[in-house]
Amino acid sequence: MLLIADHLSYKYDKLNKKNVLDDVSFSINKGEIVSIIGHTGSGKSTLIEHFNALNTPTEGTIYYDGKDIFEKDYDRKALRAKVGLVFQYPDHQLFEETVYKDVCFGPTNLGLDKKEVELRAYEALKKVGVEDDLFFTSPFELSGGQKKKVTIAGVLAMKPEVLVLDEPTAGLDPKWREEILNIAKRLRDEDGVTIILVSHSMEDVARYSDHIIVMDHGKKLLDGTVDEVFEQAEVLREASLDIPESTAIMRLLRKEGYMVNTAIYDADSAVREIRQKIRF
Amino acid sequence: MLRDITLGQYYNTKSVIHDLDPRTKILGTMVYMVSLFAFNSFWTYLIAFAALCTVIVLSKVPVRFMLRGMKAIFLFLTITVLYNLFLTQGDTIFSFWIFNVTIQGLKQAILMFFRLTFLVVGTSILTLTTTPSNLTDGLESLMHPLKWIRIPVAEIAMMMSIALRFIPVLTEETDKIMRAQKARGADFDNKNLFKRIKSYVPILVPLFISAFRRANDLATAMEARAYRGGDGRTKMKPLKYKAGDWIAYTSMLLYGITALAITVLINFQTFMLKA
Ligand SMILES: Nc1ncnc2c1ncn2[C@@H]1O[C@H](COP(=O)(O)OP(=O)(O)O)[C@@H](O)[C@H]1O
Ligand SMILES: [Mg+2]
Repeated sequence: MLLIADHLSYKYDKLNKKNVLDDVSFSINKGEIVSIIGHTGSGKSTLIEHFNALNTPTEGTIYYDGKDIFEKDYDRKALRAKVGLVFQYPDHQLFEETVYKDVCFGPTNLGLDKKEVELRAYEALKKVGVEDDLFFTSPFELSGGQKKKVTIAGVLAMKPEVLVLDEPTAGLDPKWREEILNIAKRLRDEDGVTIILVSHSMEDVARYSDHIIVMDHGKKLLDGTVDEVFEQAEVLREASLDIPESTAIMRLLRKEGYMVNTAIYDADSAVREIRQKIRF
Repeated sequence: MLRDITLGQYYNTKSVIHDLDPRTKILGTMVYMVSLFAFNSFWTYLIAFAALCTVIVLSKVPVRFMLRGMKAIFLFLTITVLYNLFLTQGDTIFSFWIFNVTIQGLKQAILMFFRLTFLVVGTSILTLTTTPSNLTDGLESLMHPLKWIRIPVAEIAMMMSIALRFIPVLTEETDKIMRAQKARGADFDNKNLFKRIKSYVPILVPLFISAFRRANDLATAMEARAYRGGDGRTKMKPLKYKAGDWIAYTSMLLYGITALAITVLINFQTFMLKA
């Protein structure tokens, strides 16, 4: 197990009685694609900001690679290179004159020499599929999807072992959503990077995930494989979350006695499955 | 979301102080501030303290919120008190090393301590019990006469309320940006001053860009709703004095008269003693 949350509780304001995170425990394995799902305000962003010690828990702790990251002499700056966090809004991160310089910011902070920094920046930009002719344009002139790619590259250039993406698909159209999620998947498949996706929508991330953690009002509601979690459609509905429509349809068909596969999370596969298994 | 609408340091609750007209509270705070500078005997400060306690109790704001403001001026307060304590000339009580504590210095230090504390707590009652928009409405109304010397009061008030509205937004944004850069290994507590200033560039650039974008959006939104300056604008909730305000003004007057009377009495006494 690469990352373990151990009875994590957190509040922003000491004067406040209510916990923003309340006794959250789970573990994440190396090489998994994990989705943390919950509606807005359920504490997802607060939770992931613990993974690289940007937040310090009021109770409980996090173990990374077998070590307590909130121990006094743990090197938390080194941890930030190992657990890369991409925030929701690219505009909070981009600041340099050119895309290329911006991607260099992370590795430069690691104290690497110039050559290594530039090599990493180049590789990272290539990895996420930013075309060469955009390297020396201003990051502020890019489209939303391009900006997102650049911010991911900016974190990737630090060569993280875990990449955490906070709402990576928010504000993007379906084509870009897919593209960004495919980048994440490729990183896992080709480079073995552990991926943590944060989203408020099952529909988006379900088919990319090996493991889903559902958050509700600062508590962990469900935790398991995609199938295990979708098994609990009722519980999900109570947390105002829904299983993807295609999955819901497959489940209904199954209930009616058709022997279809219920592990289906998008419309295309649903159509294929129905064509294949059901003869009219 | 709630955090976006809670503004400044306003403490949301219901109390007679919250209900007062902002003009009453602004003038009250001014009267109180003037009294702290004009009258500085033991007895007037005792009355000032009593008045402060009464208002705090009436406002139903927990005392710890009042003291939050003290944290900000802690250093200033300490320096002022020490400065007065050690560097006032007069009759020495005791001295050590290069310091010389005098009876006048001690008195002055105690006076300064209470004056600053009362000032900070007094003004924080104003901001804790008045929403910023109410506060600007009050200021605008009080500054109204300045229009006659061609000061654009309504525009200034609008600018102030917009600025106030965006303080929490920008604070939150600064925090988010800082975290995003920290996640990329940025270090903001570098010992070297030059490097430290440089390390703030990755925060300031996104912050300014976002502030300009917001300003632009806001200007468009205002124009779309036909905003054309302050002249002749009516208010959704015009300020109106209620019974409570007259009670407040009467109390202020009583407070002022009592403090003045005590001061006159004390001065008269010392005058008589001297004669
Ligand atoms: N900086 C902050 N200060 C105080 N409260 C916060 C802060 N950030 C988030 N919160 C509160 O914590 C809760 C969880 O927020 P967040 O982690 O952003 O949720 P999510 O990412 O799931 O939408 C919300 O109720 C939010 O209002
Ligand atoms: Mg969030």
